[in-house]
Formats: sequence, structure tokens, C-alpha cells
Amino acid sequence: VTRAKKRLSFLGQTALAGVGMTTLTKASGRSVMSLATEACRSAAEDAGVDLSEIDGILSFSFNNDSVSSQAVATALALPEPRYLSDVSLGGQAPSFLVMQAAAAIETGMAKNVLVFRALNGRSGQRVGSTRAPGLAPSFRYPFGFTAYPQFIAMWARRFLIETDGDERDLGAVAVAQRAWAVDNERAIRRAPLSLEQYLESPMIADPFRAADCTTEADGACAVLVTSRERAADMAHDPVIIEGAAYGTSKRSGLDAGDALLWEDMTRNYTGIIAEDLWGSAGMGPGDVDMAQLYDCFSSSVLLALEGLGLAERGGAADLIRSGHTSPGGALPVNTNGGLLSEGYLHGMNTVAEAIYQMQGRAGTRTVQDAETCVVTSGALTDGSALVLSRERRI
Amino acid sequence: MSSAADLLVTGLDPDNDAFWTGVSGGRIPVERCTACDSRFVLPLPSCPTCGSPALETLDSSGGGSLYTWVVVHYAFDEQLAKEVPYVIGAIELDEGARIFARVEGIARDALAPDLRLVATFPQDADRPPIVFVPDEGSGS
Repeated sequence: VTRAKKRLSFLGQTALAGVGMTTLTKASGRSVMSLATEACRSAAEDAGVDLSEIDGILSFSFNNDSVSSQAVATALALPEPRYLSDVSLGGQAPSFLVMQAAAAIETGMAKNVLVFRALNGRSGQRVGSTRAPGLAPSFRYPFGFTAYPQFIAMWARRFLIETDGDERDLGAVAVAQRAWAVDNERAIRRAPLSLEQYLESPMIADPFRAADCTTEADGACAVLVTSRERAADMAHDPVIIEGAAYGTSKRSGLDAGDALLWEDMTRNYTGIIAEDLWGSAGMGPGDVDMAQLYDCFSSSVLLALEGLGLAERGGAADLIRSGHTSPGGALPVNTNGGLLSEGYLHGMNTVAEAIYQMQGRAGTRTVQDAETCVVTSGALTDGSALVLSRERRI
Repeated sequence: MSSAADLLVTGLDPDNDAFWTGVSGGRIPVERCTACDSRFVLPLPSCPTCGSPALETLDSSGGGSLYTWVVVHYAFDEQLAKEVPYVIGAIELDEGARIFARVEGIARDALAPDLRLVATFPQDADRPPIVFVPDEGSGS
């Protein structure tokens, strides 16, 4: 693997140092403001950093379902914010915002930056409950093509057609990930799931059953990004940002549901950014010990495994069935049970699980001796990813 | 307002007016780039393939092939609850542009990639504005 021609200067110099997460519930009974503030406060405390040292916050939201970074900075009484920003993005954002935070730190714009996602995604604004603005929805809604599960189901169907797969390939993802969730006290869905039970799960947007769909949740998650140097003095082992990429290609569309211009709906952004990602890290797909792959729906795991080169074309489901990604397997995947089981914080918790794992703090799920992890954010035409490594302190 | 018009969300605006006006007249307008010959239905100010603003509009024949589809069993919008289950297809028009539309007139287990379809244009306010049905005359 050759390194990218111009290495991103924050790589190797910045780290993830702490995680804050609220309880994930179906009805928080709290405001999004309260959830966001708790998660951010917890992330700083987790890293052992006084809030007065936090000078940046980044967040993302979808159809105005969250609160601003400025609002949270105000609630936390941050004395000297230097980098507050909010982006209107979905699941493609978490790794991308960690990159932006790292870049802000590397350039001196800020020292310690929190990245958060907060929402009442179950009791408040649910998936498919709001009508997206803009031009593209007017080419979907008149046909009853209204919701995210339906959009991705289109990709999943074509993927199964071209890879000669079937519904059991999707089921393999749901079943394998649930096995991880059983030991995850944060997860909303923890009951073991068999393939038979999967096949009995009600159809939502065929080929997706309920068990293929993420678990909507109320909650918030924040992570702390800082310099490698400062991280060394914080509470846990630094998780070094070794590789990073965001990207898409031409004809990526107007919004998450717009695949009208995307020629091949069996391949998403993961294949597009793979070269940048691995090149930036100076590693290849064979060099990571685990993967935390964005899984709003089961199929996105299959596409990401292929796109990143972690599985052969059409081979991802067999790999999962073989136990390769399960507890004890060679490449553990979505060790929190994924968004399918843990809950849908739009992939911020996918990054969080990577940090917990790299720091050896995932309880009985901790993958022993894992030193490196790849994390993805997004499922469709654009998205982002990180390669992380554990820096053990004496 | 008809339920279909309700579901337009943004309503008619300068970007989509020509398309929906065409559809109400039984046509599917397709944008063609005169520089690179790319075709697309979602109106943009310039070509998403080459960036040229030199576009023209042609009318689709209404024929196309099924690329992928979803069978909707759960209505996320209560207006659609009475219609489930229904099929939405991604159809590759013969002119070389993809469109999303309703697919009817065929058993769900007979849906297959590359299935030949032809557009119909229900004028009933309670029906989707474009419904593709199997093209019985295509011989495929």
C-alpha cells in the first residue's frame, strides 16, 4: 500500500480520548438539549478533561432534529469557544466531523473538540416522519417513495440480484450482530436472534424486514478529539487517528434518497474512498483487527465489507456466516450489535464503540489484543471513514 | 388537493414545473446534455456528467427496464396506509435516464431485473402520476 501523495497533517498527531453517552431509550422524557449537554459533559469527564479546556464543539442533524453546538457550549459554560459548527448531514457525518475536529486541532483553531449527535429519534422525530425539503423529494413522494428504509431497500435488492444472494444474506448480518448485542448493556435490542426468527420478522420495505432496520432511539453520544500529545495525559489510552477519508464521486445526487444519477446501486461510497482511506493510514484491509461499519440497515454492512476490501465481491454474507465477524472471529464487526441492535444515533455510537474497543473498555465484548480498527459513516453515495489505532501506555 | 399533489411536498416550482406539466400531459420529459449526450430526469441547471449548461428536453417513449424495486409493506405516511403493499421501481428509461415510479399490473413474485415496462399516466387524483406496467408488446 502506498501512502496518499499529500498526507493529511492531522493523521498520527490527533487522537480520540473520551466518550459520553446517555442511556438509549424509546422515550427519554427529556429535551434534545438536555441529552446533548449530558453526552458532551460526560465525554469530557470520561477523558478527565475539565470543561474549561473544551474550546470546540461540532454536531450534525437531520431535518432540524437537534440543537446547535453554540447552544450546548452555552449550557456547558465553555469559557472560550473557538470552533463551533453544525452540519446538516445524516450518517455520513460522524467520521467526517472527527476529521474536521482533528484538522481544527492540528491547525491550532482549537485544542479539545467535542463531536456529538443528539436526538429524540423514537419519541420525537422518527425515521420517515418528516418531509425532506428540496427538489429531489418531489420526484419520490408522488409515488409513495417517502422513507429512508425504502431508499436503501432499492440498493439492497439490486445488490442481492447482482451477487446472486437472497434474504438470508441480509439475515446473516442481523443474526451475527445480535450475538454481539446480547452482552451490550447499552443496546436496546439484546434478545438473541436466530435466522428462523429473522425470517419471521415482519416485512417493512421488502427486501427489508423489521430486523434489517436500525432501532430508533432517544439519546446522545459525544466523543472528544484532541492532540496526541494532550491525549497522552488524559484518563484512557489515546486512540490515534491513523487514516481518514470522506468522499463520493460525480452524480452523487441531491439528497439521501436521490439515487437517480448513481449508476451502480450495488456499490456505495466505501469503494470510492477505500484507496484514500487505506493510503492515508499506510495500511490495507488486512491490517485492521476489527471493523465498526455504519449499519442503518443490514445491507450497508455487506456493501461496506466489499467496498473496503474486507470481503470479496459477493462474499460478505458467507464471511459473516463463517463466524469471521462474530465474537471470537478474525475480524469482529459491529461489536456493540451495531445500530441495528444498540440504537440509531446515526453512527456517532459506531465511532464510540471503536473508541471503547481500542481502549479495552467494551466489557466482556472487548476484543483482546486488538490494536487497529476501521470505522465507517454512511451507507449511500457519500460517506466517511477512519482508521484508528490503540496507543498503549506503560 | 389530490393526495398525489399533496405528496409533491415542494409543489410546482421553477425547477420541476416543466416535468410535472409534461407528466400531466402523458409525457415523461427527459433532460439531454447537448455537449456529452447524458440523459437525466431530475432537472438540474447543468449536466451532472460534464457540467455543461447546454441542455435540451426530449420526451421519453415511456418504455424502460426495471433496475431494482422495493415492495412497501409499512406506510411511513398515513396517507399511504390504504395502498400497502405497493411496488416502487427504479426504471431505466430507454432514453438512458433513471426514474422512480409506481409499478403495477404484475404479481410481485414475477418482478425481475430487466423486466420490460411501459409508463401509464393515471389522471385520477388519488393515483400516482406515473405507473409502469408490463410492456405486453415488447415480446420479452
